[in-house]
Order: sequence, then C-alpha cells, then structure tokens
Amino acid sequence: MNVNSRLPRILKIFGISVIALVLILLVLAYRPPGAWREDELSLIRSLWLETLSPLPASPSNQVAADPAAARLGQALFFDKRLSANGEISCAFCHRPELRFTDGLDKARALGSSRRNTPSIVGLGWSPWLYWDGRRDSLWSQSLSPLEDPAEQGSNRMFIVRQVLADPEYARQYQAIFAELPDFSDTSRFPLNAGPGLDPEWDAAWQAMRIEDQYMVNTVFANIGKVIEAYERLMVPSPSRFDAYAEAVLSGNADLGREIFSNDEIKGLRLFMGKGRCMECHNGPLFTNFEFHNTGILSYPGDLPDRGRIDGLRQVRANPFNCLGQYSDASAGQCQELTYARDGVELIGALKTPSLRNLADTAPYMHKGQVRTLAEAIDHYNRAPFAMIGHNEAENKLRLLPFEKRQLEAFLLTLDSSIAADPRWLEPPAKK
Amino acid sequence: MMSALFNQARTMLYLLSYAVLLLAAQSVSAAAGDSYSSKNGRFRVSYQSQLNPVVINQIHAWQLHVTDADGRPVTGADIAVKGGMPAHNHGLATSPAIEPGDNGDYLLQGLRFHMMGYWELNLTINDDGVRDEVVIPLTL
Repeated sequence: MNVNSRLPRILKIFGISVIALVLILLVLAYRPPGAWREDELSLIRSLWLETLSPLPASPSNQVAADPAAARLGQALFFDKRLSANGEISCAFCHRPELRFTDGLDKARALGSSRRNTPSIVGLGWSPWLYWDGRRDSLWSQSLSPLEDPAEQGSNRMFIVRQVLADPEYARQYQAIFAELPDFSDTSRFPLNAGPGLDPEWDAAWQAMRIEDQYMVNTVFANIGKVIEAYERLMVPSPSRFDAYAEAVLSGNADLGREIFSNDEIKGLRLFMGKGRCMECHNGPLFTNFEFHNTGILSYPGDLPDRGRIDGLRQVRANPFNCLGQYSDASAGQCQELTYARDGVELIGALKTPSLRNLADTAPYMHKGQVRTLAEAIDHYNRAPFAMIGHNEAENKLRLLPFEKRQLEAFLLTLDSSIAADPRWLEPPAKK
Repeated sequence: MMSALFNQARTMLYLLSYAVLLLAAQSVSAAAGDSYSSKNGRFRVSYQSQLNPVVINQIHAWQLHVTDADGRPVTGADIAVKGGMPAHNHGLATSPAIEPGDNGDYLLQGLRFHMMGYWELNLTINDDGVRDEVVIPLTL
C-alpha cells in the first residue's frame, strides 16, 4: 500500500467521527417542541393574559370608571354629527369590526392623516397615546380628531354646543357632571370658535373672554372624559395562545400540543429567543408602550417621521395634559408626564404596538408601510439603517425562511375577540 | 442540510449561553432591602420598592436609605440617578428624580423598566464634596 491510498482513508475516518460527534451533540441538545425549561415557562407566564394587571386608574379623569359616562361616551363615539360635514364619527376610522382600526395605510377622513389608525383595544393600560405619545390620556387624545382638519374638522365651540343641544345628551351630561352650562348667548359664545388652523374660528376664539374659554374647554374636556370611559371597556379576551399558556403552565403538555401546532410552538420559542421580540413586545399585551426607533423606512414621498422627539414636546405643551387645569389629577398622580425622558434616542422613535389581533389590523407600522406580517418579520431580519436617529434593533435576526413562517404562525395565535359585551361595539340603541 | 444543522447547533449554543447569562444575572440580583456599598466604600444604600416584586412596564417609586461607611444616615446629599441595561446599551425609559427626606431617607420617583432582563441603577452621591457611586443590580 502506498501513502496516496491511505490518506483518503484517514480523512474518511476523521469525517465520519466528526459527523458522529455532531449527531450525538444534536441528539443530546434536542428538546421536543413544547418541552419548556423553567425560564421559558416564566416567560410564557409573563405573556399570559391571565397575568395582566387590573386596568390602571386614570387619575386625570374622575369619570373614567363611571358606567353612565361610558354610555354617553359610546353614543358620542358613534355620533357623526360631531364633525364639520356631519358624516364622520370616531368610529369612521376606529371601526369596531376591525378591532377599531380602518384597514388603511394612513387614516383618511375629511382629509389624509399622517399616520396609521391604531387600535384602541387595551389602550387603557398605555401611559401614552398616539404613535409619538403626544397625548397622555385617552380623554385628551379623543379631543384632537374632533378639531383636526384631516379628521372630524370641527371646533370645540361647535362640539360642546352640538352635544348639549341634544336633550338626551344634555340629560346624561347633567347626571354625570352635576351641571349644565348654558352656551345660548351667542354674543359670548359664537357658533364656531376654537384655537387652530382655521383663521375665522381661531379669531372668534381669541376674541372670547378667558372665563368663557374656560367654560367651553371644561365641557370639551368632559366630552373627552366620557369617551375615555367608553374606550376603556375595550380589552382583549383570551386568545388561542392564552389557552396554550394555561395548558403548559398547569403542566398539561399534551393538551398544549392539541391547542398549538408544532410550527406555532416553534414560533413561540423563536418569539422568546432568537427573534428577540420580547425586548419590546413584552407583558400580556405584547407591548411595553415605550418608544423605539426600529429603522422603519419612511412612507414613499414622506419625510422621515421624527416620532417621540416631537410628541414629547407636544404633550408637555398640551393644555389638556395630566398637569393641566382640566385634569382631575393632583400633580403627584402625573408620574409619567413628570418623569418622561428626553434624549436623542427619541428621534424617530415610535410607540410599540400590541401584537394581539394582528389578523384584523393590517397594514402595520406608523404609516402602514408594512402590508403583511411576513414583511414585518423580514424587516427585523434585515435590520436596515434608520433614516433619522438610530435603529435600536440594528442586529439582523438571521431567521431562516422556515423560522420566519413559524414566527408568523405563532403571531396569528394572538387573535381574539374584544372582551366587552357586543352591544358596546355598535351605536347604542335609540330610546 | 449542513447549514440547517449548523444553525440548529448555533441556536442551541445561543440558548445555552443565554441561560448561563440569565443564571449569572440572577445570582447577582438581590432582594429589596439589601444594602449596596459604593465603589470607593464611602456610602451604603438600601432600597424598598413600592412595587414588590418589581415588574416591568409600571411606573413606581423606591424609598432609598443612605448611610456612610460607619452606618450613620447621610441626609441632604445630592443624588443623581442613571440606569439602564448594560447588555442592550440603553438607558431607562423614564427620567427619575430624587426627593430628599429626613434621616438618610430619599424618595426615588418615576422608575419604569420596559424590558425584562438585567438592569443596573447608578446613583452618584455627593455629600459635601464626598462623591461616590453606587450600582444597584436588578433582574426582572
């Protein structure tokens, strides 16, 4: 035998041993899907709807938990008369059948809005409202669309008169707030007035006495407060994931495998591990309600969104914020506003949305730039540079094609109906 | 095929190192009420969280108690607060502030942790020119 024929044999033996070693390692390392370690089970528990904290109080709104306020809020939420053309209610964009979104990339009402319509399900837990957090309560948020020329396009004087001119609304308002202001004197209270872009309405507003402006603002704020009382009822019900979590957390892995497919189980593992999704989409609502720049590209034709850096400035200046004179909170109760952070990381940062109910809430991201879940997952796989600011999720996930499909399969298990009685999801029956 | 195997092996390694990190982090995290010495030993700080256990995504306050090396309360010191997750290179989600009290007590308000994992809170204490830093580790 010569050296030449021996060498390949050594190589062959070496190759076989390497393969055998790899196989042994793989067998040792393999865990069947659904056999969760303790630390993974505690992560699953942290996402389980059952562990959601009770709905936090809304100290700036004394009627937030008042059922009578929620009933009036429901009527106002669906009332088209609260708009410049009499055709656009809150529900025009926040459609209950789409989990209170509109299915569009960017909202369209009287005009075109800058951003995607967010769901209101679960927002009672969110310290900040809007993609950039430019409001700090549901009630102050709900006032903005009423006066936004691209949305309901009205003004606060028109709105408060419209509401109190309805005898049924006036009766309910008086029962809730124990007062019924009189705006019938048109020399003090013009038909249309409100600060903003419309020069006539703005001039009429500036010409009003401070105490009359205060009277109007108080009713205007109260209208927001009853709408908040209604919106706080929109909480998610348990999804298929929650049934799975309940099964595996009670030690019933077999039941778990009946509820979840293999792909969904593997998708959950990716969600908690390699996908790094839980860095922001954490807790039972799958969001930390915090602001992050994740390098989502600008909408074609738009400048990059400055996000939270502008939103923080706006919420601090907003007269209807938690520290303002229309808030029912003491200063010590406005913790989020008082201790909000500044900083360059807020440039291009937008609020983490919940991942519950993704099937009904496409397209995604702040301008609806991302049409499908597959595209969204692909975005984090590619981790592009941010156009402004810095992409916090800058490390490519390197998910393989089958892993992307598994992650998507898991995300779709988070769908569920709204836990509120269905009669809340439509305009109230006329009496 | 080989790349898939390689990937799986890598995933295992990743998970393994993650678990090791997690365990390591847990071993340094201490229960509320423990006290922490400053880097140069000038101060000791203990805290009591308003939220017990501390959980993510809820704004809350901590009661701090500061003493000197001999255990005497340090009252009226300037305390600057910073914090963040060293592994993720980011700071706190909020800008907390200190309200001084009596007898070495201070109220630390406006804390909210927005991610699970290992956090550090850095308190820079300045008491009449004596300056030192305390690191409080915390795993959520």
